[in-house]
Amino acid sequence: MTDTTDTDNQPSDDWPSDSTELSDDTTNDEVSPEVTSEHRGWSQLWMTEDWWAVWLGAVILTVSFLAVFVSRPSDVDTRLEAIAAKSKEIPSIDDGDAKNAAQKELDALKKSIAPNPFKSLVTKLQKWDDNPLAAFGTGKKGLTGADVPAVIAIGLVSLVLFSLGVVAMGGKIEQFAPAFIVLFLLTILAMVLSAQSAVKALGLSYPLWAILIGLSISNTVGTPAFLKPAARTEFYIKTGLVLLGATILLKKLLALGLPGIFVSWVVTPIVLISTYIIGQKILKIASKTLNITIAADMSVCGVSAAIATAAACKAKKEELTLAVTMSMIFTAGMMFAMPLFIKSVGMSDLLGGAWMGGTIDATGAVAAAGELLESNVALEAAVIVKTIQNVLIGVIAFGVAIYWVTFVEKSESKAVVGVGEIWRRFPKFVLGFMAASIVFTILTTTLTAGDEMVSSMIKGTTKTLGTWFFAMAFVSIGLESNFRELAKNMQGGRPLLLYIIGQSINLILTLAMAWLMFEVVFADFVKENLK
Amino acid sequence: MTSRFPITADHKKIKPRVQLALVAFGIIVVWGFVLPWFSRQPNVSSWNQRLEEKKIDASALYYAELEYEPEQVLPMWPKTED
Repeated sequence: MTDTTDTDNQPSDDWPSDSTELSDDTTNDEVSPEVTSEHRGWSQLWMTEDWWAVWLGAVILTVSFLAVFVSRPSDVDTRLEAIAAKSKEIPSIDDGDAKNAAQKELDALKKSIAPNPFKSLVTKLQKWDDNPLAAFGTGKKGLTGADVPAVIAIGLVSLVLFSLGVVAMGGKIEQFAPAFIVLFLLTILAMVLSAQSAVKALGLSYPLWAILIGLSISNTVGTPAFLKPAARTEFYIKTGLVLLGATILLKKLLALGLPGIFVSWVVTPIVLISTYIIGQKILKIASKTLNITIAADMSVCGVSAAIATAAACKAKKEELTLAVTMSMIFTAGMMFAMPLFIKSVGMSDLLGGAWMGGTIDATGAVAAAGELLESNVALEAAVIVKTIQNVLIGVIAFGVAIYWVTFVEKSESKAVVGVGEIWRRFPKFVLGFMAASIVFTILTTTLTAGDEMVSSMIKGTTKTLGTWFFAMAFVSIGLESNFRELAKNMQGGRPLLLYIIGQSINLILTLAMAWLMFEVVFADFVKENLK
Repeated sequence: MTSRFPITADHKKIKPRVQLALVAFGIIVVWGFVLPWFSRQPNVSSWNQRLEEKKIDASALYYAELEYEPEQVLPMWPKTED
């Protein structure tokens, strides 16, 4: 293979200003001025997308949590005691019907502890088989479209929040608002396509269809100029990531015991770093940002890790598109192939589940693959290993951001980077992401019914809003990409080769570590304690 | 040599518009007919039903998007005897 120079990562004088970075604002010049040295100091707090993502995320999280907090019943303690008693009672019930009834009672009790008043206003689209209108919910009388007001509410809330940021950053509301409405309609279309039951069953998620919708326009008639002010990929991604931070609850680490932590947290960084090194030293991938985005995507947890890493190192939109597309295609294949292989070789449920959890990229596909093994232990082990990996996103994004501003950009500019410069270059939204994770981990562990309240907030409000923001970001990416640029990033298939080599290392190391932990080092512990 | 019918801006736009119409047509055919037919196939239908019973969304990107909640499979530390 020929050596290539790292032309894609050449810094310019007024960093960051690579015209095709995720932070690309060249299409939004009329809406928001580029961050320049003039925006150093305090003015960054209200003039940059990074900080606006933090503020918007903080507002959404605060309002959402307070809504659940003030709605909690006054007799929370009594209900918690009832839940504890019921949880102890259920395993001892022999009769199946009685057990189901008790479980339903327990679920109702759990729900009653932390009602979310926003739940009916913030909705994702429903799964549909043959009538796309069913994506908008079905009312009590069987009429489709019951969720339309909720979808409109999400659009309006998003419009108001992002308009605030855009206007504060010097944009014009009269340009942004109409463009945003069209962008939101395109996002709804992408979400409808992704909600089709066969598409969902194959594990093909909304980013793929959102990119497809955007590309369909940009590569045929071209993205209309009036639409460009709303194509603010980075703003939507960063705000979504701050919301995602609140779901990274560190207590999730504990669910698979010490062996699970070894499988998720030792192998993953090794695979990430070795894939990056192979990409740079052997495959000579020209773009370091593409290299690290693929490495994180493949080794951590697919699309969500790719989004966080790409934003942390300011990867190009086309690079994120490439990483996401490869991840989804391989995920769909591995979701069906791995359970078949595990069954055919007679691997134990726990080992097979942990192996799939550590290697299949997306969480939903991991759960589906666990279900294909027809074992609760496999399903739970798979999802828990993946969940522990999910928690790694924050650490990886933080680590990549620090490494990039300290070493990658330093070596490119060949200048000594001081602490002040590192702070200036550091993507500030990562701080919001980390802060959200820490604050909500503390709330879950210190407040009475904190776990239930945070879970209610995430599931009822912030998770769904974050999904809509990411979908808007991917439509924006599609609108600003073209097939020629995407093809250029393929570099003769080297990114694909990188993914395959990295995933092979991942498969071997994860299997070795899971076998060592569950069947050798902690074999007695597992035998005694496995439910 | 100049054309008798010069190509105007409107003429140039015809091809891209046709391309967009073809993409839209493709989406309508695939999502309107092919995928619904695929969903009705016994294997796909029973697979969907299994996922639904377990509250698994195979297209979820992140654990918070899953309704399925795993239990604690193993305790964090081996129990110590008092």
